[in-house]
Amino acid sequence: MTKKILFIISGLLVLGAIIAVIVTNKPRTSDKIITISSENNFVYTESKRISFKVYSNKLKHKMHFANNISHVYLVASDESQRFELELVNISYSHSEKYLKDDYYCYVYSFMMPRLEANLLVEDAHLEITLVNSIKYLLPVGEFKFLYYQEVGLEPVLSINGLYGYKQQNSEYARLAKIIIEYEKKTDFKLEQVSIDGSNNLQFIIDNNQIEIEIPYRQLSLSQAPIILTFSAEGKSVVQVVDNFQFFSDYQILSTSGDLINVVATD
Amino acid sequence: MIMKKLMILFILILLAINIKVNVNASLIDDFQEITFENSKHRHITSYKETELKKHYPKVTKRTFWGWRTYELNKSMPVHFRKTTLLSISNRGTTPIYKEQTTKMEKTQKYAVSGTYGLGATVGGNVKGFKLGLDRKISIKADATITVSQLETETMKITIDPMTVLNYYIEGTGRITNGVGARYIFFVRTHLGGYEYLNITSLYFRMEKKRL
Repeated sequence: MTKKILFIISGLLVLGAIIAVIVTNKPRTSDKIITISSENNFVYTESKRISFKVYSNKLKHKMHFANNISHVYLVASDESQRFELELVNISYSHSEKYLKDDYYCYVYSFMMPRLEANLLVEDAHLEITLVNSIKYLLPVGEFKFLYYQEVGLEPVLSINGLYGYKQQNSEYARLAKIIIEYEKKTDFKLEQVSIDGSNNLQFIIDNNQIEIEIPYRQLSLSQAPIILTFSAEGKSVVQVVDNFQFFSDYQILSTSGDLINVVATD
Repeated sequence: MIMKKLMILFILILLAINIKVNVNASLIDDFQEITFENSKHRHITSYKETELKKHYPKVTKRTFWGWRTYELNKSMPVHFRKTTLLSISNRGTTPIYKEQTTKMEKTQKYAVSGTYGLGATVGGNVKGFKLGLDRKISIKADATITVSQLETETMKITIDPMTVLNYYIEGTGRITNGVGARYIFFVRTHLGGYEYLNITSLYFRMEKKRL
């Protein structure tokens, strides 16, 4: 009987040793951070948050803890622009597969800065410095901060419906069309439509509906404001529809490969 | 003698694992109006048990440990519409001009469901399959089962008198379903159909209507 117990115990010990060898010989994967190059246009409102999706192949990467972060700057790649962003929170969103590895998506939210004028940062990077002075420089695409007097007011059109689509039969993470359903409050002529305050977009008006075409760029675009310039009652009137999230993607790493920036962090 | 008793106890435990327990509605039921892009494809719940039984031989070859699965529909595109996320009414006489926050809590990025032998015992947790079937099928589907915590959007917007503002959500995804069997020491403990929805995108839509 004692022999049998000894036999079982020694068997368990050998099994444990084999498992330990397998675990310790497991190849260590390097830490990687992924960001998506996006077109980010924001109109200022008092509580406006700007957010970035940051993926890592480590669920609990030290960067994802707000307490570990000393300060964050938005910087242009040529360092011509640099300003500090106030971190509000970091929250976990979801996980995705990319090249057979699991990546965990966190959303970093910051207060939108109140600047004195519109600002464009073409090749923007998030510069995140941890309390232990380790610095990460993450490419995030293009940023435009826009300041208008009255965001969300509806002097010309009552916005009765708002939604958008990607290119038909495409999973690429870019908005291709915005639809505004409206009821007019006054007679108007729509002169210009823009989502960035400068580039005028093609549009069609039909049956109380404005269909706005968004041209392709190699930048993800899932949310945007809409700036409508009318001539109404003999004067020019600007109506600004606040930033609206048209869609959220949960398989972006596998469907929009050329938007991905991989940064090795060790 | 003791070894014999231990073996009998072990077999009894294996049999006990197979006892079915009732579960709440599966996650896929939470998404309304799921429609396949190709109408020839079907949800696993629309298969009769006799139809599924025809596919069981593909998973009933005994194995030492783990799952055998056979896919009936693999990664088939679907569209779905969920219930309203948010609804705000203005029954007053002046427009409301406010900064509105839309919170979308715990939206399932991957939803799972089971039928017959698997529905009861395997889909026992709303967050996903238990007993390792999630790992087995997620490897094939190149996905993992997970749940998002919270997404918040703010929008400054006007709501005219006697108007209701609604936020809707609709989306696209891919459904995979099939039959599966689970084995422990060559003993089959589970057999049935499974299905999961892999959400690719959620689309948001704002509408205002007269009360």
